[in-house]
Amino acid sequence: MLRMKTTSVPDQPTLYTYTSRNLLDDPEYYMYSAYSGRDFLRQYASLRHRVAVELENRYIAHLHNHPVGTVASDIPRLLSDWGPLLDVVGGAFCGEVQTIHNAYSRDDRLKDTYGETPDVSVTELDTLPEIPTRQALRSLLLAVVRRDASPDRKLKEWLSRFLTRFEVTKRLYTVYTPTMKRAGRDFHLLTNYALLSLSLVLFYEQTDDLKMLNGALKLNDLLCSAKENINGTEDSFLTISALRKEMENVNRLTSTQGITL
Amino acid sequence: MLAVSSNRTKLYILQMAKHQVLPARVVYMEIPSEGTPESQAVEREAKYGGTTNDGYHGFDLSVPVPDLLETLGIPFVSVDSLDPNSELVVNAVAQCQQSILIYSGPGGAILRKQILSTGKRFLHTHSGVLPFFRGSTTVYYSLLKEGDCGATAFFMDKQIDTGHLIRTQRFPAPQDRTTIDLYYDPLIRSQLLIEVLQEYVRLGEMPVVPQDSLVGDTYYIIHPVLKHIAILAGQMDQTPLESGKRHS
Repeated sequence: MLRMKTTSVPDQPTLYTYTSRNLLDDPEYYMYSAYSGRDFLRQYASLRHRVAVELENRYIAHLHNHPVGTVASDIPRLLSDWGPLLDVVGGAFCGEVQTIHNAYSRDDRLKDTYGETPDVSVTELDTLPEIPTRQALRSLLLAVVRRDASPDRKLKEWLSRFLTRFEVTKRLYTVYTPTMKRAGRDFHLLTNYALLSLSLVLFYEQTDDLKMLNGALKLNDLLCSAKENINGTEDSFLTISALRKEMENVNRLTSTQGITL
Repeated sequence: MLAVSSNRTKLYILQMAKHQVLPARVVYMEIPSEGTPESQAVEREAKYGGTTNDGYHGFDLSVPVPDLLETLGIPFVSVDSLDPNSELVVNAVAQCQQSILIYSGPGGAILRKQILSTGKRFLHTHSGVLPFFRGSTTVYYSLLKEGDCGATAFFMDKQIDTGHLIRTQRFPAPQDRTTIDLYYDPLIRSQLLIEVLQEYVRLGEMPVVPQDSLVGDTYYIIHPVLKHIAILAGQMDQTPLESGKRHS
C-alpha cells in the first residue's frame, strides 16, 4: 500500500518572495534584488523542499491510482522515454518512488507497451524549418544525460539559445523559427520549462557553468509559482528532478564557497 | 557624456572633477516622474539604513546629477527619455561637437543603429573582465568563479559587451559585499575610467584591440540565491546562525 508522505512545513516564508505570484502571468526580472542574509537561503531551501514534497505526493498518488498493467498508466512510456535520465536523477526521489520505478522497469508485462518516441538529434536541430520546443528540449536533455561529447559545442549553443529566449522574454513558446523568433503564441506548456531547467542544472553539474545554474533557478521559480498546474506524470517527474538537482547543486556551491547555513 | 541619474553617473562626475578631466558636455536622460530600478534600490537602501547619504570613499552621492553638473559648471542638456535609442536622445547626441561620449546610460540598454550612426564613439566601462564576463551583474559571477572582480573599458558596438577593448583592470573583492550594486560596482568602473581618460590626455588617442567573439560568455541578471552565495562567501564569520538571530 502506498502511503502519502506528510511533512510538517514552516510558516509561509517572507524573504523568498520569488514564487509568490504566477511568473507566467507576471514575470520576475530580478533587478537589484535585495540582500537578506543567510535566512534568505534557508527560506529558499525550505520552500523548494516543500514544493518538491508536494509534487512528489501527487506523483505517488498517481502511481497508486494507476497501477502497473492498467491502460491508464503512462509510467511505462515515461520510463521508456526517460530511462537514461532515470539513471541520473532516480536517486533524487524518495525511497518509495525509487522502489516503484525499479519495479516498473523490471516488469515483463510492460515491455510490449514501450513505444519509441521519435527524436530529433542535436545536430539535426540546425536543419529544421521550425524548432518544436518540446522535442528539441527533450533531445537536449537526453544529450546532456548521455554526456554526448560529439555535439558538445552544439549542445551548449542550443541550451544557450533557449536560455536566452527565456531570459529575454521570460517565456518559452512551443515553436520557434530557425533564428529563434517565436513562431506560435502558446507559452503555457510547463513541460518545456521543466525540460530546460533540468537540462541546464545537469549541464551545470558537469561543467560548473554558472550561467546554466542561474537559468535553472529562474525556471524553477516559475515552476514553483505555477505548481498547481503541474499535474501530469511527466511534468511531475521532470519538475521534481529539476528541483532536487538544483538544491543538490546549490548545496554543493555553498559548500565550496565555505558557507554554512 | 551620455548619462542617467545613477550612482555610477555621480561617481564618474565626481572622480572626473577630482582628477580634473571633466566632460565638455553632458546629455542627461531623465523622466522626472519615473524611477528606475536603481533609484528604487537606492530608496530601499536608504529606508533600511544604507549608506546613501553618508558618503562613499569620500564621495557624496546624495546630490542629484543636475545639481552636481551645475555646481561643477559642466554644460548639459536634459532629454525627456531614458532610451538611448530614442529620437530625442539621438538628436541630442548628434548635436554634440565631441567625437567620444562617456556612456553612463540605463543598465542593460543596447545601442542600436540610429545612435551608432551619429558617428560618435561611446566609451563604456563594464564591471567585468572581457571577454570572459560579458553581460549583467558580472561582479557576482566573477566573485563566485574567481574570487575577485574586474572592469573593462571599451567602445560600445551593437552587441552586448563585444566592442573594441581599451583597457582592463582587476580589483580585489570588496570588504562589504552587501552594497556591490550601488557602490562598489560604480566605484571600480569610475576608477578605470579615470585611468583611461588620463592616458587619453597624455597620448591624445585611445588605442584599441578587437575582441575575439568566440571567446567568453554572456551572463544574465544573477538570481538572488547565487547573489546571496557570492555575498556570504566574503563574510569572515562563517559560524552557523540559528534562524532569526543576529551576531552582536
